[in-house]
Amino acid sequence: MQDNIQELMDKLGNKVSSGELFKVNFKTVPVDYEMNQLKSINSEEVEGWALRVIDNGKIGFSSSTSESQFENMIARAKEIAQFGQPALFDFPEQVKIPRKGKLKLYDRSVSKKSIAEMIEMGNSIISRAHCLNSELRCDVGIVKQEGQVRYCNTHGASFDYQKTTFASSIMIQDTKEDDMMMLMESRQWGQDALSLDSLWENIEQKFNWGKKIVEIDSGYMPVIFTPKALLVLILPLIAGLNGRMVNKKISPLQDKLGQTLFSPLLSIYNDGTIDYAEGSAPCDDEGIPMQKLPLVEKGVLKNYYYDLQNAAEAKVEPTGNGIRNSYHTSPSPGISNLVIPEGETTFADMVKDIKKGIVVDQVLGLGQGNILSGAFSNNVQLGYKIEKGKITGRIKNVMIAGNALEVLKDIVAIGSEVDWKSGRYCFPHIYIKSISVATKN
Amino acid sequence: MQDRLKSVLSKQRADYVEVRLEEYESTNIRFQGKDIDKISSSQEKGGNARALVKGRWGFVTFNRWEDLEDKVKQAVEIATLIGDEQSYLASMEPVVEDLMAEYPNYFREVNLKEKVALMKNYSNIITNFSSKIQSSIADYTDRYNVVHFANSEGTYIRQVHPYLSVHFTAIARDGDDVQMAKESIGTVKGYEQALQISSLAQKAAQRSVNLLQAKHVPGGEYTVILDPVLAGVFIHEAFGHLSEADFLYEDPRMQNLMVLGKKVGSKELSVVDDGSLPELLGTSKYDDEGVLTRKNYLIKKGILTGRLHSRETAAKMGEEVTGNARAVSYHFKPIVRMTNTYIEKGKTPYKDLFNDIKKGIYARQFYGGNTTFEMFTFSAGEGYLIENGRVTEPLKDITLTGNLFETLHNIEGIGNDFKIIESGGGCGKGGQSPLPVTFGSPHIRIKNVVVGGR
Repeated sequence: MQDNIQELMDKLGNKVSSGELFKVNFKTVPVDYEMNQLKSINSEEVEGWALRVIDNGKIGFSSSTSESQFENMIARAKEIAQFGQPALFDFPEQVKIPRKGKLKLYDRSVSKKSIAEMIEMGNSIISRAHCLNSELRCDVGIVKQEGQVRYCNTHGASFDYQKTTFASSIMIQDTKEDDMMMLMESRQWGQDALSLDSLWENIEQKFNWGKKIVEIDSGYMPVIFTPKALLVLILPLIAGLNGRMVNKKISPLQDKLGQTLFSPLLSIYNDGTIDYAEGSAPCDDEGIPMQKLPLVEKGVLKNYYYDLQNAAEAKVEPTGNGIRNSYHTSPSPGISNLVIPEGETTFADMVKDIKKGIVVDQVLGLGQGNILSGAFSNNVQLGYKIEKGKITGRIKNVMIAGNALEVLKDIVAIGSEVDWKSGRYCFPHIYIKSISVATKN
Repeated sequence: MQDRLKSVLSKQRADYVEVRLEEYESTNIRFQGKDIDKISSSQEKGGNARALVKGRWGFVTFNRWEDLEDKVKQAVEIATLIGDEQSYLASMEPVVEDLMAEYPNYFREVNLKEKVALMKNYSNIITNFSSKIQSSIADYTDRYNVVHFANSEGTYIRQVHPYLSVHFTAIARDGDDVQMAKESIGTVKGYEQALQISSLAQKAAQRSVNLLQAKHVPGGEYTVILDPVLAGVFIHEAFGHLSEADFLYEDPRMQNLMVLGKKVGSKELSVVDDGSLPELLGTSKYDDEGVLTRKNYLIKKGILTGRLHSRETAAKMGEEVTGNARAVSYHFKPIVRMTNTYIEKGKTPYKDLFNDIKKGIYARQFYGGNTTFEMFTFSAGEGYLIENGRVTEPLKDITLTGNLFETLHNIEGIGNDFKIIESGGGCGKGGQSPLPVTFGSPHIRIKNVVVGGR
């Protein structure tokens, strides 16, 4: 794109008022194990081109997988623009990336990682699972990815960056005649720095807790969410703080900036400036620098997040949250990385504090239901019972339900250690005072 | 194309090689409230090569068709690198068939202006329905896929997969209470299907407003009646996924749970997956390994009778192929998937199912569902309390859960009505989503279902 960029932009500039071209190239190599065996290796290459134009004041969008389609993309975007949304913004004149401490997103050792090394890693996981119990089923995925993102517009602004990701996921399944325990752990990071040891400690601990199944009665009780399960409570916030939802007046959090809505223990940041995190980038997908944006600070609602169009509609500054789900979609408000800073209470102390309650580690049906209202209702796919300050066993056939926006008012404690999930959610344990737990009579 | 593929495939040293080349065009129009929100046109071209060498697979995806030869080689090299046991693949006769002519161009002949006007109208219908409606979404997608499939055994198939969906979301608000209701259609039958669905838009609007009045369901164990939509989701999520042989073909402990001949429900219960039903979303003549689709009984009269296979899982388990290897797109390899899955209709007039339920829940419509083999969960779009056999007050945020095997045995009534649901959503598995499927059922009654609530 560097070579003929000017030519493409000239071509585009001649046909529309203004326009931008966004291009991604990714190569992904997953090494997959099924049922304790190496099953397949893939090599997946993706090239995508997205064109967004403003023509006669309206937005048009088209996408393709090949540069050879460029003329055709312009024609389609122009046709679309006849019916498009009125543009309330123009593409940036320049991309202002802060110079201090250049953001790190690319690790050469990920890109150099050989298939043989990935297989070695997979084999060591399988043999560790085998040590835990030789009859377990273990599925493993080791994935490396490298890619490049490029952007330029007809005003002469441009940016590009390279990015690597290395990830491993482990699923352990213990199948019996009348019970099946599934445990899932994964790590994802831009750097080749994944320690499997901490991951493995987690798995061993949870596997041992889960050996015994215990009964529990329905009712309201204290619940500890592990970092892995916390999205249950955070997804409704992500939806409600989206500038689009606020503009459309369908967010229960609208008109509430500056109000104390949650426990003073809770702070949440959207932060796209963290080295090697999955959602980090020098700027968002429309050229606005990413930043550390407080969403909630000590329980007080601080900010909504916006892309260019929605910020303009709300008459506020864009927040660097114009994210594309893929090259086939135009930017809309999205989260880069989400960080909840650690608190002061260890997980062990949380457990000690509870007479009767549960730990929720994995749920079924995440995001299913009326998220926007804050409602959640999930099967506890992996959870444990706490009795008199001790974890006594695994619970089954149990549902938790409530309204996340209410529940987050009643935080007893925030965990003193954080864990990254999916490379983009940095969460501690959160201990909630009381949630409805339903099970068999 | 056929000759080129044949020549590339004939040169490879592998137990089996296949190639999929695909191109599509797609249009998406989305209104939010009375205004256009997003409108886009996308076009994609790509392919993949999959090779089997000594029991292991190499899989390569790419965008440039001109690189085909290299990519096929690469897939074989990768598989060769790790191949270390015997390959299993059910045998089949090569097929050469061009199904291009079977589908007219449908929506491709309709101009953009007309499609935009149609969606604007639907969005207005929802927005104008009541002063309680805060916002609406009317989302239109059409896609025209052409897929070439060829393998090293001499098969060459060209199939078209037309797809059209319309989604409605109505969002009603009363103070801080925001309620949402969704309706959608998905179809392979063409643009006409999108024309006469004002009533569906109204239905979504009505339901979102009704939900503002609904009470939270108290958590606990209930006898539930599921409408055909939710019963269809149930059989897809809870049972269908467990019938997919790739979960168990190498796992002896899972196979023990799913031994054919095992009694899993009452005599009235029969469950079918059929990818050959005419003109449904889950339908295609051949699956993505070139195997003819067909009607497969999964449960017949309460007995576990079959499961869904790819060529590899069928060979490994010594069972027949079923035509269920499907891939969402060239980005993915074909894996075992459902097509059109349904519970056959029973004998009880469905209104009689409510009789003698002291306290229960009538759950209708759906938000979504999920499963991890034995446990499942799914959420109802709306619901009502049943008291002494009568439907009384409206409830909201109903999510049901249970253990599959217990729940199948707990089905105590199957209605004599029946409906196949073609929604605009789809099924997700192994990162491949949304795959067009349908599900169907009569009303069913299940006892001892755990419902989350507060």
